[in-house]
Amino acid sequence: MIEDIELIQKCIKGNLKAQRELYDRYAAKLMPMAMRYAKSQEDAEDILQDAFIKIFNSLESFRKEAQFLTWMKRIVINTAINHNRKKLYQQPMLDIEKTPLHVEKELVISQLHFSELMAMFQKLPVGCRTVFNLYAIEGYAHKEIAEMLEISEGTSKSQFARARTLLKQMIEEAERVITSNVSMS
Amino acid sequence: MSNFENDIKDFFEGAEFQPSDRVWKGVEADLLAKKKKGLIIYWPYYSAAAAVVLALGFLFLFPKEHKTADPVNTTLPEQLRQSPAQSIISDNDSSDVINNVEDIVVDPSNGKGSGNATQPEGGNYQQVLAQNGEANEGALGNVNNKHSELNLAEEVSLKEMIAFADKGGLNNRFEIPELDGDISPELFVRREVLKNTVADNFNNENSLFGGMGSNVFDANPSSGAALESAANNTFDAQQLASRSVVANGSDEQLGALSFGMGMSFDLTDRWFLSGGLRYSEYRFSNYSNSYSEDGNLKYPIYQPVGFDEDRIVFVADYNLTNTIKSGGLQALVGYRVLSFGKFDVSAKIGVGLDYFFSYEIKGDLPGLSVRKVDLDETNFVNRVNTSGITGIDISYRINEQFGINAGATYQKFVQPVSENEFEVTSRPSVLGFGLMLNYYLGK
Repeated sequence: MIEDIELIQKCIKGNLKAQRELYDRYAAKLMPMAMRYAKSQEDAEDILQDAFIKIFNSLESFRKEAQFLTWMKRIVINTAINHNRKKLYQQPMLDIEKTPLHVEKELVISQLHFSELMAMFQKLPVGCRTVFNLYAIEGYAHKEIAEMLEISEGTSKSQFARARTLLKQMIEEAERVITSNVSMS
Repeated sequence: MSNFENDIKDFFEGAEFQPSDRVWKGVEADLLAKKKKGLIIYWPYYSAAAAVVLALGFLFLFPKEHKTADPVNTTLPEQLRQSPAQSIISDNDSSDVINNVEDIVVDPSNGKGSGNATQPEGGNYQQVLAQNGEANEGALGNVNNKHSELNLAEEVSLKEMIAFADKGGLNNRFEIPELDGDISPELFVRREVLKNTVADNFNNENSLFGGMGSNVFDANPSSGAALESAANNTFDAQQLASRSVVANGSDEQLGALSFGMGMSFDLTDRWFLSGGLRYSEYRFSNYSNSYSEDGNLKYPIYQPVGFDEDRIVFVADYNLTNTIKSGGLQALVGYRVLSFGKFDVSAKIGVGLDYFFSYEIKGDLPGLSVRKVDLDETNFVNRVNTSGITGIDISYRINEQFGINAGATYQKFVQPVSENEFEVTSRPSVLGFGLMLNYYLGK
């Protein structure tokens, strides 16, 4: 298997075979990320498609010292944000002053199936989902998220809290179903 | 960050999910569309370049004929053109040749209209012309046609014209009739007489006649003229005959071999523009009847490129192989006639620019060294030559970027058109075979 750098060089020259190989190498790794930001798999595929087009068009700007996968992930995130931006404007994120406190309870997330947790993410409102992804998984600070999404830092925090609560509720519900299924069997 | 966030982060860490085929199809469609768009942007430039290459290719390959007077028909009296030598050559019978040698060269009473019986006769063309011209005043009308430089209206006789003509002026003017496509009658006769004669110390006796004019590389059998060099510039025919004539036959193409590398750009699915660098060897053959000695070294003589006249040894005819090595650029427009798998068959036409960097003459005679001609010292061949090129290629596509082309080419060199209507404007053509490594742009 040829190295990424060599493959990138071929892609830059417009070699379609190399472009296909690079896509095959990374599409499955990037798809879960697109899915976390999307409301459906179809939506996620649209994001991934746009992201790969940007990747191929921007390969010349990729610096060799950077991690290629990290560089591609950043493109997927930006593509997802842009993809959701229209919806974010349509459903403006507001500060949620009184987020009901949720009693912390240990949840066993590992018992969930990939598609189950993904479905929970996709049920989240677009603002909550985006902020939760950026903060909890991508590791951005609320200040950075606020700049990226053109919202206030407080809004980012409250959207995150809201997302966290909704996710926990959904996970707890799922655990209850799992537990009852186990006891019934 | 709490355990909840960390657990979710860990859950997605390293997760993979295969998207459907429609994602790649969308990506691919965009990539191809961009390529096509790129083509459309540059298409006017490429198509303009292709049009220029195509036009020059046709112009070089099928030029408007330069009207050059036929030196033979316009300068030689009818009697000479119908001399016994012609029948000798036509019959190609050596015994007849020897008999007629005496008729032509030795016997002044051969009844061919010599008006100067006291003057020895011989093979010097100048003299033959003079004698015939003098004895057949009426026949001079044949000479005075509109293409001729011989201005008889000023009442200058042909003999006088020839007598006062300088060596350079005589070059290319008095062509030897090409009878059997091989040698002139006069040359044939004298060669028979003078074979195996050794002539030493030919100082100041290198006046050259012949069809090879300045900068005329004429390796084309269809237009090649027999070459000869009278080794004396006097009118003493007897003396001339007793000495010798360096002779070479008409050039005969052996073909060209070339290889190189280039790149091509698809204008459409069928049409493409290609260019490249190429190394070529052009070979043509002829024969010689003599060689020159330089110390212990013996060199074949091909008189258009000159030779050392100090010591010339005449021998039986032997073959010469002339090899010109060249580096060149070429630009071609091609059309894919057939495509099957990774193979394409294409027809091409275009132009070439060659730089001749080496010229060697090899004689097929034991003991002869290879003559390396200094191309800066000879006017026989130009260093830089333009040409029209056409041919058929078979190409094999190794991968998206590279391919190998193998094909036959016909290359016609372009010589500068001279204002002198009597100057030979040779346009050598070469049939050759070539191999090229090709890089496909934009693929």
